[in-house]
Amino acid sequence: MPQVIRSIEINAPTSAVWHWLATQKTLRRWISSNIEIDMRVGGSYRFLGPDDKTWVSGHVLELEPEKSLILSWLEEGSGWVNPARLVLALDPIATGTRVTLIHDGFEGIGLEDWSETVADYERGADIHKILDRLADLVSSGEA
Amino acid sequence: MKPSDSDALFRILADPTRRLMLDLLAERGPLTVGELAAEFPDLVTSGISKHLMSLRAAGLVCATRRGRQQIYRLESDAFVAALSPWIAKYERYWTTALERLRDLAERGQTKEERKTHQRREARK
Repeated sequence: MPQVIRSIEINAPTSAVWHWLATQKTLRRWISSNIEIDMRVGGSYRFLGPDDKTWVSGHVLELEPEKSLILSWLEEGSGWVNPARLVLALDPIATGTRVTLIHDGFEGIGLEDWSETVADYERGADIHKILDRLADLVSSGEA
Repeated sequence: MKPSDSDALFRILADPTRRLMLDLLAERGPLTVGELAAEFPDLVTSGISKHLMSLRAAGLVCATRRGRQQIYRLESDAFVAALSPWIAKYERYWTTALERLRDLAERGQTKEERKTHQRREARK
């Protein structure tokens, strides 16, 4: 299934790279200067997206310092019912850190039944359900 | 992509049975109607056919005839084409975003920031 995979090697230790993923202030330097993000699992975020006219919003799904940051990713007003997913993973390599970015789950962005789960989630009902759903979407997208 | 195209695609994908059919074709390669039907014991054959028809109409699968059997396969190109506007946008975006991240981690500032800084220095 379609996905965006990019990786880059950085001549700096994972702790130094993580610094730039760890806070709203540092994320503003490279993801988007206007991002508002509550940096904890379940925390929400929002920013003006790549085209400078569509807002992107979602939640922090996973946050493991110096290892990974996973966000749900919904383009507002684009007909998406269900978010895609953004994974940022850090791996130590001999020369520093490899950052791998996977933007996937696009095949699921129109699922109508997702809205119930999102509503549950917004009521604070069950975060794990959303993660399970994401896991399903991701495994279905692997082939 | 026209909004109507994506709406139609989303409607097709909204059904869990159809998603599962796509998954099966993606994982196992081309399958006969019988092989697909075996994965859905609760569905009658006409139900299977209906789902396959809508996937075909959306261009997500195609069918070829071998003897008396219809063989279904995934049209991955159609899938990629339908979602490509988003893919292309994010590919560009993430390539430059990761370069900014690298510059920050290695040098403490991005290329854009260095340029702004140089311009400011030059004015002094």
